[in-house]
Amino acid sequence: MLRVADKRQFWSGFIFFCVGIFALIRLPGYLGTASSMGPGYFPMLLSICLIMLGMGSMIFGIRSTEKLEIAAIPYLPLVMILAGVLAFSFLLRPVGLAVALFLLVVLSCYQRVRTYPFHVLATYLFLLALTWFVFIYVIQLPIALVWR
Amino acid sequence: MDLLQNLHLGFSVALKPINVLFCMIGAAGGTLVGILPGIGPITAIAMLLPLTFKMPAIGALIMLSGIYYGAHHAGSTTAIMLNMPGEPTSVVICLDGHPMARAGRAGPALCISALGSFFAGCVSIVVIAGLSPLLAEVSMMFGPAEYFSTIVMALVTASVLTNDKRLTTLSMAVFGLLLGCIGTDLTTGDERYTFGVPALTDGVNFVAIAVGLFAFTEVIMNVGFPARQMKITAKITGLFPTLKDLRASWKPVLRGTALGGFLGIFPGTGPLLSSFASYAMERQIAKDPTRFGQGAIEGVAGPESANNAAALTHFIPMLTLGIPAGAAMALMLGALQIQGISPGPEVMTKYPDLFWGIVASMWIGNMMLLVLNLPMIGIWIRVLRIPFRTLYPGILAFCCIGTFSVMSQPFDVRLAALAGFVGVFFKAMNCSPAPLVLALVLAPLLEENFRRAMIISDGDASVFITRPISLAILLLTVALAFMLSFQRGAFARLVSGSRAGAGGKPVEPAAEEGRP
Repeated sequence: MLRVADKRQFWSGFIFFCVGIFALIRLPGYLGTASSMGPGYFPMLLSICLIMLGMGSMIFGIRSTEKLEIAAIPYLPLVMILAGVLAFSFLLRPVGLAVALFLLVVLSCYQRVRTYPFHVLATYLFLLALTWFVFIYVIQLPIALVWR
Repeated sequence: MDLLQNLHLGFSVALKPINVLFCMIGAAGGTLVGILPGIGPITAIAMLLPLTFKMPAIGALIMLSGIYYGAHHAGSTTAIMLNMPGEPTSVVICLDGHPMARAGRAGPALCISALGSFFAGCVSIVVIAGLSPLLAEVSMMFGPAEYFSTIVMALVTASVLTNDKRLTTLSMAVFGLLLGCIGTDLTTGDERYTFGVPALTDGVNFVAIAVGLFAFTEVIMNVGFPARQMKITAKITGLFPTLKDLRASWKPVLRGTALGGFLGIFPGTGPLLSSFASYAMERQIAKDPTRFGQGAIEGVAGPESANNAAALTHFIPMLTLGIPAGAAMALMLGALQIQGISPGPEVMTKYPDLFWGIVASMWIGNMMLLVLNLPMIGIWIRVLRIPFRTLYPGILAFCCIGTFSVMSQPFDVRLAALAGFVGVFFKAMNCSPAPLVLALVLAPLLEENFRRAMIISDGDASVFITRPISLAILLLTVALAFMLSFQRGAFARLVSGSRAGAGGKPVEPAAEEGRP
């Protein structure tokens, strides 16, 4: 097994390499020629660039002089906050801003919901008023506050 | 003289009450957001961009510009007061600004930095006003090959000028270009990489990506690893600098302005390089370099002026050529495009009130910054005390609704969530997101110019090197790329040198570099 020195560069290079390969495999349309390019020409050039850059990163990552591990990833905040955002996106149209915002606030403030529920509630109410004012009243965005 | 006529037009537009209001909201909003830890200028622009769509184009641009330079200047306030750079360009201000604050001289430091910035702003605006028509004329000689090369220059220099590995940042740029290919190919009408998702037919929403990569990622990282709440130990007693300070500062201000104003014009470089270069220059020139790192006012006056000068001349490539010089400008370019204006040399002739209105309002905004940053400094200090955990639900809410509002597509919010997810992993691997966003916005331009150049040259790729202007631009790119990579080591040594002199904790440029 290879001993990888700079894991950050190696794995990011690997990701870019894979993206390049994927883009090349799923190349759209036809290539055409340089003087009359099809939709696939430019993406092909870019994919090849990305593949080469990815390979370069992987090689340099293995042979790097500094030892680096991938930094810590906060998994719980990642899941909870993005869950809140996703919930918001699915609920905004059908059920309205009030409910969607509620879920966003509750899910993203997951740490404080148990310990300081009233803080969270106050935050929610304040944000509801603020976003209603800015987005629905001033800018007149077509969002329903509450599902009718 | 033409220039006076143009400025007159500009001021008549910029001084309309509604535009003054937009300018004020922008400058104040930018300062507010720039002061807050965890949000930089790019996040601020991404967050507030959707609000501008229902506004008239001029007002929107005025507000966004205000946010940009407001946030830039606020970064120096946190650098001086808390030793925490609000964004990468303020790292240098920490070196001498914070020791001044620790010695009880925060007031003079803030004052000199505000005055220096204002002076630099005034000069830069004159430069913009004078230089832009010339540049627009030069760019009339630009063919597709030259545009292609300029965009390449912007992408390469923006990628190289970070502290991360060059291969990684270049890969991020190319990845951004690929993302920009998603959607409908304008020339042939074919769908590319849409995988049957109707929301992607018009391409990837750049606001969603910017919000996800910058705002969501920052929020997640800050919630997961809360930064220590810094104690504000510095007190602001007197605001006014002594005569000695003023005498020591005026030459660094001049030098910084010249340096920053010049460097900011080139796509890709700009405020970051300018502030570092100014600091290096001041230290070289100083009679007693050992004072640097311990509160030398030259180390604040010079870089601060360079910073602001570069931030303003940074607008030039976008307003004259239509090529954004950095990720923040890219977002503004996107905003213009959504408003139906495609920036380019014709902007000055087709929409002169827009162009000159923006230039004039920059001056008004700079004046407002003076008011915002000096008398009102007490308010901002209090804002600094608000803990991040109170703020971030609001940030999330604004980002979600804002992203939705761009094209009224809930899909965009999910896209932003995906971008945030990926962004966290990118951050863990030191991949900086700014080149990606810049490339994403530039991709259609790059491809179109490439196509056109190829059609004209009938498939001959050497056209980019045989045409003289294009060759010059590409050579300049290579030169800048090498020069900048050699500088990175020099910058790191510079920073640690000042730190060692002061005996203080080293400020890590690497850690802050990824900050938008």
